[in-house]
Amino acid sequence: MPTSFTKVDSIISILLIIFSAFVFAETLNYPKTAALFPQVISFLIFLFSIGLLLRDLRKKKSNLIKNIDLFKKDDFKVVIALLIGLTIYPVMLNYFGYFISTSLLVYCTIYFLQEEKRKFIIFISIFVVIILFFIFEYLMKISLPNGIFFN
Amino acid sequence: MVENIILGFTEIFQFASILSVLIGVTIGLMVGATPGINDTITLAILIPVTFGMSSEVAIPLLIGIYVSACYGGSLPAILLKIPGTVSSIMTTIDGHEMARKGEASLAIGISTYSSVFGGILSSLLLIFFTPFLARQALSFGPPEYFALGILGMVGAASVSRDIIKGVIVSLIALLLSTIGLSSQVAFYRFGLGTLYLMDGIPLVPVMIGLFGINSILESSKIHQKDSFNVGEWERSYNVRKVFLKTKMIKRLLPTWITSGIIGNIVGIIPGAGMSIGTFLAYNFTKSMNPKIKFGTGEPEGIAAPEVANNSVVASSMIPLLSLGIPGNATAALFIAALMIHGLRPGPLLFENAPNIAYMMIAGFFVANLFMGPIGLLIGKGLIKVLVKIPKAILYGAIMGICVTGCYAVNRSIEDIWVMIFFGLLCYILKAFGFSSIPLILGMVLGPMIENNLWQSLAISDGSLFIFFTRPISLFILSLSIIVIIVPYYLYKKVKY
Repeated sequence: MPTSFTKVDSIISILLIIFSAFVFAETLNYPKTAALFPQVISFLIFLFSIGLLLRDLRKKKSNLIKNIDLFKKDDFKVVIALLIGLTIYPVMLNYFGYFISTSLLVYCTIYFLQEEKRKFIIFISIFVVIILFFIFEYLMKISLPNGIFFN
Repeated sequence: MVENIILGFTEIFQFASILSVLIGVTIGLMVGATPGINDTITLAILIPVTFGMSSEVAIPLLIGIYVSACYGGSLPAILLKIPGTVSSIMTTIDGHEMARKGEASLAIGISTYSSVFGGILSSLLLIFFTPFLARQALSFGPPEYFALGILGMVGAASVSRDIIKGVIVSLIALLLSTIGLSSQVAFYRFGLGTLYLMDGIPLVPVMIGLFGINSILESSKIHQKDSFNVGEWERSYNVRKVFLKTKMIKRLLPTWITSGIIGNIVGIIPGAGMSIGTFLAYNFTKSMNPKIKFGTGEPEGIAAPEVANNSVVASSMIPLLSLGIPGNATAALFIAALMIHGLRPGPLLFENAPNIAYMMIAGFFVANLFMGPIGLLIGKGLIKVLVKIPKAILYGAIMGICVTGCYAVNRSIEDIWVMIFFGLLCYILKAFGFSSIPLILGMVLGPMIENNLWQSLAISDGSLFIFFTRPISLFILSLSIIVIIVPYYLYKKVKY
């Protein structure tokens, strides 16, 4: 990942400039009263992004290199794994229902965050979901999805 | 006013409400004492859980958590040199040194007394100042509310140490708040081809994403199971020794008063935040006591930050309850919590639901009273248990609560997508040096700013001068300039 970038702020500000221009263009077809506020906001984003760009261009080296450590290779793998798990979750929820999907998600989260005792993780995941299921389904009377396969 | 305050205390002393405060204080102590979790994350993931409760039970629970979390953070800071929350960092310096010298009980005692003093002081300010401010706010018109919205946004932007980036995130938040039907002409803006966003982006999934999911993603940086040396302080810890002697109380009183004043001022300023309060109070006390060797386990080194951070808690609710402006991220979460129960903070809350408004005020006072004894009773056992829980399991459980709570509010799978999006957005923003706090504040304040802008323009036939010709509006706008300059100056002055 981009640990070697020296002008991270410049890239971000260019993306923001494009974004604000896109938003402004989108609002051109809106009625005046609906368009004005987002237009003013997108114009201000445009202005401050230019400010950020100019400030970064004047620097010899970006001061953000330290923060980009968040994207260290090992951490990044875990983040991507967690995000994949999270992205699959709403889809699974539709098909397999709350109990199986959430247990799997909790299991994956604990596993990805480096807990190694698998039997223990399975126990904890199911335990957490049983407690949550009890609180929401029985105490709060909020029905959680059964899933298409178990309806 | 006195009868309303009595009404507030009557409400809070109902069995369900008082039990709720007690449970909240205990949860707050637990989350505060657990490194990696804080009050904001806990409130964000627990707000959906309060959905099924009555507001008389839900709000005291959240107040209890908010009040005791920063005190809870001081326990591992003193005993293990691990600040449970950011606001406990300064307590670590002298607190742990004192524990190492075999005076863990005294350190915990000072922290407890100081926290309770700070909390009570700011609760009194909340009790007497908020209703007064709210009464003044009732005479406000759209220009004043627009100016208040701007003040809140400026405060949100100033949370960021990089002002330009803070302003950009605030503006993006305002833009996100325009998604959905425009209230002026009922025109669907930025719909992205779906009807789901017709009512705008729902706040609860945003909160859970920003604080809950983001904390899980950030926990990926924990590579090894943390091991803590619990035994070191256990020998010197004796609950009977935590009670301070009169001589010590007299010695600490000036520190408590000055740090309390600093904490309360910082708390009222939107965006200034708890950690600034603790750094300022510590540095001020240090400069006032040149003969004391701070950093070697001095009582004043624990008292100053602990009074300050607990003073910020209740005083940060003053702008929220009286004016409807959230001063920090936690206060913004209270807006969402109240909205779930059909309430809107601000001066009208005192008119429409005085029982809830005054119960909240009384709740802060009562929660602070409970915090000390509960902390002393369960603090030792709590630390021993909490530090042994593997982080992975903790975050696994948080993941379960996040997805369940997010779904439960609207029974909507789309809400889970929103939560994931904002969790990722927050992670990316932080990675590139942007603060995510203005995001939630901006989304809360956006509709208020836009609606009052249009109403003001309608009153003035389209002239922007209305904001500068009305004295209160002009005063609030001028205050906005101070609010952005003061934290900027403080950040520069306080190096950390």
